[in-house]
Amino acid sequence: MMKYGKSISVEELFEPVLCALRCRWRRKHALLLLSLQTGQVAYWQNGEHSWQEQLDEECLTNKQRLADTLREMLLKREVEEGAMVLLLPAAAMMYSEQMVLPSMRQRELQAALKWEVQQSVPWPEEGYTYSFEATEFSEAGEQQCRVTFTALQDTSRAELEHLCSSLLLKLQGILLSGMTLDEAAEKWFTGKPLPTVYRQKQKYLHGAAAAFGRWLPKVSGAALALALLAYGGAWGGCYLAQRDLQKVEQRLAQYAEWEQRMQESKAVEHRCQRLEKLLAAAFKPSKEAGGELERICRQMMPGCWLTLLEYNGSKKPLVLQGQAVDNLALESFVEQLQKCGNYSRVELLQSQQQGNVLVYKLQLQMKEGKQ
Amino acid sequence: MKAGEKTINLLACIAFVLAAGFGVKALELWNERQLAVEQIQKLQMQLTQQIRFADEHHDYKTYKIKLLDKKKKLEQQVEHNLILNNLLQRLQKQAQTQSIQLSSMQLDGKPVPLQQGLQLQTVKISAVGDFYSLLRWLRQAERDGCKVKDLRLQSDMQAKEVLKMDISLKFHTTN
Repeated sequence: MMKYGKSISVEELFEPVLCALRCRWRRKHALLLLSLQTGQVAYWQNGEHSWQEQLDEECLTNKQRLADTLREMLLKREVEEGAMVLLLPAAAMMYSEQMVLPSMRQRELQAALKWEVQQSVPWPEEGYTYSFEATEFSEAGEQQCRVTFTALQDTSRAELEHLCSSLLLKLQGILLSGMTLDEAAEKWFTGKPLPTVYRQKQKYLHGAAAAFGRWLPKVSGAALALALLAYGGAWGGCYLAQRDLQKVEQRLAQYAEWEQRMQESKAVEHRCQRLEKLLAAAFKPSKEAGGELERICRQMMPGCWLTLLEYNGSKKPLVLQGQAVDNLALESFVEQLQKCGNYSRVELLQSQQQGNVLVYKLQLQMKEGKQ
Repeated sequence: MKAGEKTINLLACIAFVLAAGFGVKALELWNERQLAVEQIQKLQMQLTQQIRFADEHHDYKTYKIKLLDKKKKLEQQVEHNLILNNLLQRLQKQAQTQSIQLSSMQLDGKPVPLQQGLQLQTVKISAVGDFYSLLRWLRQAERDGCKVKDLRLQSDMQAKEVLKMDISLKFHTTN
């Protein structure tokens, strides 16, 4: 995105919104400002200046006295627990330097400054935190950048943090650039970002980045070693598997004749099984109709004859027609059929005297179990 | 960033790329190995079956003769029991033996298809003979696997010993 020929970042684009949100949030909370350079202590409540006091000179040199005096002051002024605090450290605690660099982007400036700071600051490389302020200016038609950086030793930072935590205050930042209490308060309540303020999160991110930088070669080396190991293992496994496969194939080739025999006999056995199933399904010898005829014949009584027998399967009734010499013979025949236990029902459908014989018609229902 | 640091970072990146490449290649090889192992298992099973078959039937000639003999017998049984013409011929022969006269023999409708390639065919037969001969013939037919659908046995009062039997028999047949 371009604006007046310059590129602007996403952070710059959203800065007014963030600024408004910060301003709203900061105004809701109480703020204590402490300058260790001048010994001034000021307190703001709901964005309004509440009170201001001056510490004596001994407090600035004696840390224990400073803590005690501040504790008494906070108790006396009834400062709420967990109030936010901004610290302006003494100039003696810090190392500051100004330099001129060619005009460049913020990120490039950060990268360049890292190297410059490392060269200038007299403390060990990882024993301090720094911040900078850059102002652009034009000299002989060339855009240049005036950079002021200020470094604070980690031990000093730890002492200041300890002081705040012992007083039950929430440290919001340590302002390294030399500004007054009023300037700091104005910057805070107008919602301006505090680039010069030390932030715990930033430290964590820097630490993480540094750790990443330290571990990158080791991790990549380990990953390469592991990948090589996996590749070697897989290659070895593949080689062994191929070798085994060849061996099995060779053995199978030896049994090729048996394979053919096995296939042939399988086909014949399959055919036999099919024929057996076919025969088992079809061939079921029975003696239903023949047995029925025999049973009827056994029940016949003297003086009774059959002229017609109709059988329509075991589930349907059996029909008998015949002749008898008299009623007694017919009754005896019917009784005999009922007694024999083969039929659930014996029904005389018709009985008629024709000349000197009695013509009859019977219907017999087979019992369930006898079917 | 120092030149040495840059070189180290570059080398680390190269190492990562190489590691990724080797990782992908290792995965491919591993999959290839898995396929080979599956193929080995399959072939090994086949080989085991063949070895077992060879052990069980080391006298393959005898085994083959027995198997073919069994097959032949079964085929004969099927031909004997499931071919309609053979069944009807057998019924006629049995009737002749029992001195039964078969006055008519006709197919009743089309064959009904059943499972396993079987069919059910109904045949209507009219036979004349004495009671005991007809009973023996009927028993024999039932023993041979015929199923009686319906039967009508009627006596002729003129000739008391002679009976007329109209019977519908169901036969299982095959194509």
